[in-house]
Amino acid sequence: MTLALALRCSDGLVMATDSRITGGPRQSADISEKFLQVNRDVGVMTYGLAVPGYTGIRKLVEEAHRDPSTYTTMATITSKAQELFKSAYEQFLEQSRDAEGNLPPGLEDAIVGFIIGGYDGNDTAQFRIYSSDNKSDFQMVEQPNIMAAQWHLAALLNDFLAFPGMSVRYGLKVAVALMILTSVYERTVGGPIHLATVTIQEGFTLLHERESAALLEEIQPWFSIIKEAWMHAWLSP
Amino acid sequence: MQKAVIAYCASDAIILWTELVRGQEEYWKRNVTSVGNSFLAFHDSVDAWLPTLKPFITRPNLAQLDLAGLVTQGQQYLVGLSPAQRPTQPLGVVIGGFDQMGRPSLMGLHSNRKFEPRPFYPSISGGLPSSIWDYLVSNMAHLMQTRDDIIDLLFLGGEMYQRVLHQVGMPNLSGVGILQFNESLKWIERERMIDAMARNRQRLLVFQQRLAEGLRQLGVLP
Repeated sequence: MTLALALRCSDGLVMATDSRITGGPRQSADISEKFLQVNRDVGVMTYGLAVPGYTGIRKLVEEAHRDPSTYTTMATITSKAQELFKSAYEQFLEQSRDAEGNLPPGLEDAIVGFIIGGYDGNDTAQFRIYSSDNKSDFQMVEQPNIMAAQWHLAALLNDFLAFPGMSVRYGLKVAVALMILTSVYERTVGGPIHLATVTIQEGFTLLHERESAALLEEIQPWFSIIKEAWMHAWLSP
Repeated sequence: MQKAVIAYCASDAIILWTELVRGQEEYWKRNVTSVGNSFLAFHDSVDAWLPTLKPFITRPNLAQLDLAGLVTQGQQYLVGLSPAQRPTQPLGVVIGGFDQMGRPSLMGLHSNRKFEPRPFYPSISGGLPSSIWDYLVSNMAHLMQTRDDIIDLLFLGGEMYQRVLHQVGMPNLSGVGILQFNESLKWIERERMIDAMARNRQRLLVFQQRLAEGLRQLGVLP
């Protein structure tokens, strides 16, 4: 299923996702399309069903590039995104029907979701994060942090690792730690980690694989610190 | 309303944590029915299935069945229900007892799998994702020395789910039962539950402190 995160930091946003993709009759193997830049300050990622997910985010990026003067605020971007995501999903369902008009078993229950994160410089001057999925008819929901798909363990560990006012630099390490630890206990989460930041200075920036690998190396001691902390805590009373 | 269950097989007992369901009849005070030296713990959409389950759990021969017999009869009953008798909401059943060698064993039946019996593993259900429980067990299982340790771990699991899901009933809406060989399921007293939760509060404080110290020594935190 995957794990998709968007974390709010004092100086920007951190967005992260793994590489595992979910099936569907025409699942895409091109995992580079899970995470795209909409404009200078906004990024979008998808999780769940691969085909409508990739179609949805590609259409949003094409639309934003086609008419950049219209999509200058998060309000205009998210409004259009809702329409495009829904259309991509409905098109996918239609194409998945057999000759009798039936969907493959389980497809209607499968999830496709999106996270849009960015700096809303032309309107509210705030970093904003939105989520949207087929279970809520693609309504855009704004949240302080978002963890989606196989999010439960990540949400628990984020509670212990993150703190208000943390920097983007620290948030990146938290995101990598959450990804790695979740992948140990959720077999549907794994593969290379894709990371991006949104800051006022740099806008939306995808991290190179080398940078992700360096972060993973840097946080190695975290895992033994966490394990030892649990052991000390358990033996304390 | 979904009801959740976490079960832990110790070497000589099964310890069960469950959310409680309120009911008017004695055997529905919890979503667990004690049957001889076994138990049936219902989870997921228990409320919807109450009327359908009653004829089965009130069968007079149930207490004479061993674990395998209980699993077989349970499966036959559930599979044999007519569409009109079977609610559309999901239902799971955890059947705990002792196998022929006297070892504690957990079997699960679930409507999503047409009630085909399977070992209940990971030992958690009722809409609770297993990752959190698996994480806790992998970090703490080697530290389990006493029954109280296991009870504490089950409550810690419940507390962690409450933190994340905000829908698991804690503490007044949960209970822990212990099943030992040749005995029926016994629920632990409220005072023991309160003690377990107090120890866990202390543990979480210590965990947070040690984690922060460790990250500070690493130079990650100021």
